[in-house]
Amino acid sequence: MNQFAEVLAEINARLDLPQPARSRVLLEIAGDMEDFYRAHLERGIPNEEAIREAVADCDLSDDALDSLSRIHCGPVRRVLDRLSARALRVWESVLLLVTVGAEVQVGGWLSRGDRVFRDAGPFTWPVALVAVVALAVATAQVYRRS
Amino acid sequence: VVDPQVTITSLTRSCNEALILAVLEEGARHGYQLALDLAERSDSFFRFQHGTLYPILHKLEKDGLIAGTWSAGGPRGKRKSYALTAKGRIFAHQQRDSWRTFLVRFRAALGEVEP
Repeated sequence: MNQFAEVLAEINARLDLPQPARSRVLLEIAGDMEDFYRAHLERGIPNEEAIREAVADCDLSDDALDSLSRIHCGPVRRVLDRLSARALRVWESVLLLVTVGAEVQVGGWLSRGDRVFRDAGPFTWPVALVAVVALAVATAQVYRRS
Repeated sequence: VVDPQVTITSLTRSCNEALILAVLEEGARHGYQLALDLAERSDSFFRFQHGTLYPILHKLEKDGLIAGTWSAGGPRGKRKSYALTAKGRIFAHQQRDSWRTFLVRFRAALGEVEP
């Protein structure tokens, strides 16, 4: 399937899908392209032309790619897609401020006394770790989108 | 929510679905076979650009009307084939009835036949 590597890379760049859905879609397209290509060869079409025709047969328009993205994205993404870019930025900023504010408040409360960490139960550290990771992921997402 | 009813606003979607489901009623197909069979059955009247088939197939799969299965990797690589589910078979029959009703009314509206 090397003859289609370039066009598949181009589709991959245009396909706005999370893994593993993205790989599955690409694998399906690659398989169909190969079938079209072999069928063209069997009809006596020269190799280069058979490749071109197979690529054209499986060409995905922007509309088709958008439809695939909508079908495979999760419910959160579907809700976010309905928001305008400006509304999305406002909500992201608000959520980030609330999250950071909550973290600062909890951090301040913890720093006022050492009882929490001294008498920490078995779940204290995992919960604290999850909170820190969640904050890091949320911050990274906001930076990536902006 | 999937709806087998054919309406003016859902004509294109419903037509595409009906054609694909009709082919799959005869058995599982790979994407390539599906495109060929659609063209052959309609004497090339319904010729899908293959790229437009993917969103339709994936939507039908997500709605549980068809099921995609990956074949084991052979010399020609992995292939995904689609088969009708039990829910899809019922949907196909309902949709076909709805298309018959639609066509009868359409022809009547054109003055061709009595409703």
